[in-house]
Amino acid sequence: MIATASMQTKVAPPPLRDVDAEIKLDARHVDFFYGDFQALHDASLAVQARKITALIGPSGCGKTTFLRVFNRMHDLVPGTRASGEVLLDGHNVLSPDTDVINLRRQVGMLFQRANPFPKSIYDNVAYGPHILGWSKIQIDQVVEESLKDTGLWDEVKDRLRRSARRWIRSPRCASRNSCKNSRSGIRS
Amino acid sequence: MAFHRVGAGGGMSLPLIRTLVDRLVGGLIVLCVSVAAIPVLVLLLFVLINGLPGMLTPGFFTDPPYPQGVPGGGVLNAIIGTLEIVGIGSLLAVPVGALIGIFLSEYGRNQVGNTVRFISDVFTGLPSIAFGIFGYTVVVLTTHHFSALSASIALAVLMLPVILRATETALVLVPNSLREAGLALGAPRWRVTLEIIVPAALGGIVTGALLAMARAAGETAPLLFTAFGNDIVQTNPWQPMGALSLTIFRNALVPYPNLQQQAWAAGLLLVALVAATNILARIYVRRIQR
Ligand SMILES: Nc1ncnc2c1ncn2[C@@H]1O[C@H](COP(=O)(O)OP(=O)(O)OP(=O)(O)O)[C@@H](O)[C@H]1O
Ligand SMILES: [Mg+2]
Repeated sequence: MIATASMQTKVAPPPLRDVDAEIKLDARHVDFFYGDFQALHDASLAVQARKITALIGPSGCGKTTFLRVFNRMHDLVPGTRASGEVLLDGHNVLSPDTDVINLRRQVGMLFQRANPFPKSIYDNVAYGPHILGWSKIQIDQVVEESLKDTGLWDEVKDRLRRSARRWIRSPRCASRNSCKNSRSGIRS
Repeated sequence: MAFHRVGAGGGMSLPLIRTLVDRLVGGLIVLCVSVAAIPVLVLLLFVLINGLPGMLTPGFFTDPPYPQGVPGGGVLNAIIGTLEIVGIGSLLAVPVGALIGIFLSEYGRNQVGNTVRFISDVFTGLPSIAFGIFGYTVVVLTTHHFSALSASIALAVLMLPVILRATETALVLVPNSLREAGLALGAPRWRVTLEIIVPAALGGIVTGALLAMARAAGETAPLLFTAFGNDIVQTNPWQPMGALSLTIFRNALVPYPNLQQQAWAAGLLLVALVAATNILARIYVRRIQR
């Protein structure tokens, strides 16, 4: 309960230093329930476009819960319920007519724990663009770019087609499913 | 630190009573394992000793059976029959069973899923001759003659619950975080299921299918009035066909030593086929899990 209280009191729109700051995502008065348990009490947060926003709080205070509402990942957990508004470019993500598949293509998400698909390194990096129906040439290019951006290219370029499992156990593994292919990204 | 504190209560050595109980329970477990394992080993040894001479007889693998009383002959009809009947049965049962298993695991947390699970469990408990009756009434009676196909259909129904449950179990074991990772990229549910979850569980699915095939290959009762048996080498699935289990069943009941020997050899071959299938399944699973 201390945790939820801190969510209530500390999450407020970030101070707008730039008067013209463009608000990309605007969560307003979000309540969230896991069955009867209320995890979020009236949480609000405005996220600026092209800025990195960090959400900080004690363990279990609801950070992950809050982030998962932004791309409706909570739909996958039976018995959950979210109320309030989460406006993405002015459209309420929580409204029933939201196309969640399209939403998730725009709001990328990196999870707290790395969870590689049981596929090759190449296929892991390529899965996002593959879903979007990109061409082979485009995908090849974005895989190389992503791995170069994360500094992994030299290490893995000779074994792109091999299983990602062993690679992912190495300490430098946090960069899978890079968010760069989404217009906005959340990192849990 | 914690370990030290526990030990400090009663000195450093384990109390005598705990050592005794440990030994006793350990011994009991070894005993139980032996009770379970010895009959299997004895059975394998028996089949091996009695079956090997027949298997080494010239023509065993290459000739059809000769008329009763004529020495020699083989079980080519039964080898082809078992492979074809089980093969066609698997072609029918594996895709359907796997799809139902996928449905149960990914979309079956509801009344429909529970009903399917219940029916499948009932089928698992049915005596195998019931599947023979099914093949007989549904196929043999409507086509007016025995056929390998009717046996394949009977075996397919027998295999179905094994395959779908194995598939469901394998899929349920795939961590939810993988589903979420796929869905979070904006992949539709069906793509995540087919492109991520099913490949991740492929080992379990294939093992389930192979185990079901092994079980079907050993069944006799469902074949008695479907495939019926055939001493001629037959490959046409619309015709009656022999099978290794039928050879064992029929030849064990005749007074000719060469045919009885053939029955033992057919038994050995069947055991070897089933064992090979199981070993292959295991090797395959180990390979894809690396
Ligand atoms: N699936 C769930 N079912 C029920 N309660 C849940 C579930 N997931 C999280 N909770 C509860 O919701 C609250 C918020 O959890 P959440 O995971 O959002 O916290 P967090 O801030 O991300 O914590 P951490 O810093 O440990 O990651 C916790 O009290 C947690 O017990
Ligand atoms: Mg968290």
